[in-house]
Amino acid sequence: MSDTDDSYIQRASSPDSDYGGSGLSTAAGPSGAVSTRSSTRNNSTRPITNTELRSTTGAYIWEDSIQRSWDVVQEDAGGSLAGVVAELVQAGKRKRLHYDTTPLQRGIIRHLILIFDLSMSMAEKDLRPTRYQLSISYAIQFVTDYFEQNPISQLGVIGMRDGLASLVSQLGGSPTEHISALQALRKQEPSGDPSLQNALEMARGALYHVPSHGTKEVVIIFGSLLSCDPGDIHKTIGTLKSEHVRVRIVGLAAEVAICKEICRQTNEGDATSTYGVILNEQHFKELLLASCTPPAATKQKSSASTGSELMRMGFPSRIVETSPSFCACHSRLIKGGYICPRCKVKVCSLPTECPACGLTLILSTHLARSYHHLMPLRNWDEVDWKDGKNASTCFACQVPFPAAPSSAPRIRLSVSGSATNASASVAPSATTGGASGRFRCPSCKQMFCIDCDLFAHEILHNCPGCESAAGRRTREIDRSDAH
Amino acid sequence: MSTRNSQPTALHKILQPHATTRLLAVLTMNAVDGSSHVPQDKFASELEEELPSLLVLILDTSPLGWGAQSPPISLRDAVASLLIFINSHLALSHSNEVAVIAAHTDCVRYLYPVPGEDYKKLAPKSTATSGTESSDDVVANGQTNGHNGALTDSSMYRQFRVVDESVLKQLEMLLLATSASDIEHNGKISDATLISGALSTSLAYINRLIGGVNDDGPKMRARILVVSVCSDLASQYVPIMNCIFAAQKMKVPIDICKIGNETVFLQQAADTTGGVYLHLEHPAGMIQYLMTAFLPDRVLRKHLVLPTLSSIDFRAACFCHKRIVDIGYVCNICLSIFCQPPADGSCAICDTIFDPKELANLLKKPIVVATGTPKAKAKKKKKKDTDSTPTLTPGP
Repeated sequence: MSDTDDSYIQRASSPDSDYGGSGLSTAAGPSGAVSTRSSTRNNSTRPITNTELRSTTGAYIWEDSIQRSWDVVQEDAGGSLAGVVAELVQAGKRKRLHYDTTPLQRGIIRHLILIFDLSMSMAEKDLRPTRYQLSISYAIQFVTDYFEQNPISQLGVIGMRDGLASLVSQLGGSPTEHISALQALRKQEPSGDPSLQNALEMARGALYHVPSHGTKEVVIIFGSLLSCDPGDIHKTIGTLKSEHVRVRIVGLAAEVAICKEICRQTNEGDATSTYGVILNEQHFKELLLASCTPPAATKQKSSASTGSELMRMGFPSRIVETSPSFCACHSRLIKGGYICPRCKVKVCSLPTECPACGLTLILSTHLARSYHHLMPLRNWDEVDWKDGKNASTCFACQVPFPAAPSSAPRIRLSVSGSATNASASVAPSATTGGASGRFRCPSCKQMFCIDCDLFAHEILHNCPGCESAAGRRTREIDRSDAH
Repeated sequence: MSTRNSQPTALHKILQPHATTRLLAVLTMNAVDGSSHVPQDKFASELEEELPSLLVLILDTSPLGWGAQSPPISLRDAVASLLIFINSHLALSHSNEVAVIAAHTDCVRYLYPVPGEDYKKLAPKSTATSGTESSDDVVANGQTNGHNGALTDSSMYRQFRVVDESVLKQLEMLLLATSASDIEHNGKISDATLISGALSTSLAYINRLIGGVNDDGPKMRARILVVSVCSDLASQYVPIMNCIFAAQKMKVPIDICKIGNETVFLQQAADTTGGVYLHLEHPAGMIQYLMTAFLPDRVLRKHLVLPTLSSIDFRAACFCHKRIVDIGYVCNICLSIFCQPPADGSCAICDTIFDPKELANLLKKPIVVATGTPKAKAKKKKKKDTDSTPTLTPGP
């Protein structure tokens, strides 16, 4: 429709044409490749003299939104890329460092339905090997992470295929069952059209019996641009809203208006953080695994239930037997297990519901696993060179910090090998001026390296300095103290 | 030929940054001796045994705790046993490494490796009777050398000596600088130490040395051994649980060598991460316990049956009376455990008000009807009760 040249030719549009900047559009393709199409219908090709269209760097304003990933990679004087690669790794690490650390009330007992798009559009090969296979791999990882972070929650999987919704695995608390059901899905081929209404109605039915202290959530992996529904989907959205079901959608193709509408209605107007369209595979994984953290509790509008309840739970003790006996949940012969404190039947694994009396049985470690969501670790501040001179090594892992730029430019490699600082002069031109690669905890004032920062915030959820009472110490023993 | 197909894969593995020389040798032999039909995974798992092992030793240095153990074992004897244990760990393989961290009552210290020390150059051993030293040096060196004289000498294998001397010197400095006010918690003398700080620091150190959880492959295997004499500090429950889950994710087993009273947190740590928990009944024989139960590393443990605690008490303690409960009531906002529904209808920890109807449901007791005199009213009430046992009485 418009003649596009392969070579990049600058075309200027006359200032009073009707599509000033909008005719020169950038279309984002499914895997994030950004292309420019210059429409030449009314254009006259002439040399560029119109300076109003240029930004300060000399390029057109509409070019600023284009990111050319090949520009970032440049060889240094020796012809090697090692410095640039290390810098990219560092930049990636810094990007991950911003966490939301407000201690919100969160729904810890979660009931989540994962809705899978099994329609024709999932056979596209823009994600390797196909969207379908990659989505299943990520979904399996999601199941593992979800049960790791929320051990007392439940999960169910529904698929949308041929205009119908089918139950892939029931709402349950055992990860192996869901993983084997997802593995079985790999052998099938995607076909047909997806139907959002059918899937949402089936999810709503599955979540109907959830007690009021649990959250009701739906996560949809949606790769199509349409939805074939038998009725009025807005009615379904209305019922979802009245039942407090919250829907999150991960789009694989492009933004679809009905998905945005669903997310906006069910999440009280917040569609930006609940509906995401992926840019690349890494982004897909991030968006999907973001649903593993418990959602913040919203204010309950109805006065009937306040959402806060006292739940009766049993804490069984483990027994060791010399001869095997049957477990009540699977009728398997096993040696040892857990005894329900109320009805004294044996179950083989926790957390579970006692098959005889219905009491929820958990270990105190399962509750402890969710504490870090309720009391998140505070963000650490990045420290300038002038403040960070006193600390020479990281407090937790003892890795030596790079020296200040005025002194030796050549810096030692840290043991992990991934944080080579190519040159100290690069650091000030990075994200923040004068960043020194040191991070300070606001309460104990100790300095840490970037690896410890990532480790403490993503895996450990403790500050080693605060736990060692470093801020409260009043005596110095050795030379590496930093106050 | 099958060997021709295996050439590209062998080269691909060679060019990976983590390839060791042994991997290179194995895979080129793979192409030569025609054993390329063996899947590559088998080699990967065999090579896991070839990875060097990192042992992080966390030593509890509470003066009160060790003082209480003093008749059968003193801190000096324990450190002597531990040095022999460390030396034998280092002797198992040339690339094995060790780190020693002291968990003191108010701080956490690296005893080895100490930041800022260059271990490549080793100072010549100074004798205790050198006349040119100042009196301070004589006192300091005389004391340290008096201990060192029994434990290390200049004819020791260099790697052992470096570690042993550093541990002894740093421990001495730490203990000499401790004053009476430092061993108090909340104003009273206690023997509790900062185990959570030591665990967090050691996990950060392991994370740096191993190269991260999500990388291509770990460069080392790591494990943690905690030698503990003190009792639990209740305020450390949540940090210790966080450390336990992090260790579980990183596949780092935490072994516990317990002297003195039992603790619950450390038992759970050993059980969750797959480590060995031993409570020493005869602490004087500590070296024997260390060498038999704690020396084998993770790969060997698959083939051995090691003594550990199997009857762990996982029951929770309620937050209100600290009683052990087996059926408890959990607030769904703050996950705190109560032994009975709170009388004022609100959670004591997070002050959320519970729904009074639900609370009433939980408090309902079953109606017990005396047999022989059926009452119509009692039968009606039974319908509303959810957990009453229906007593069937025959009709008249």
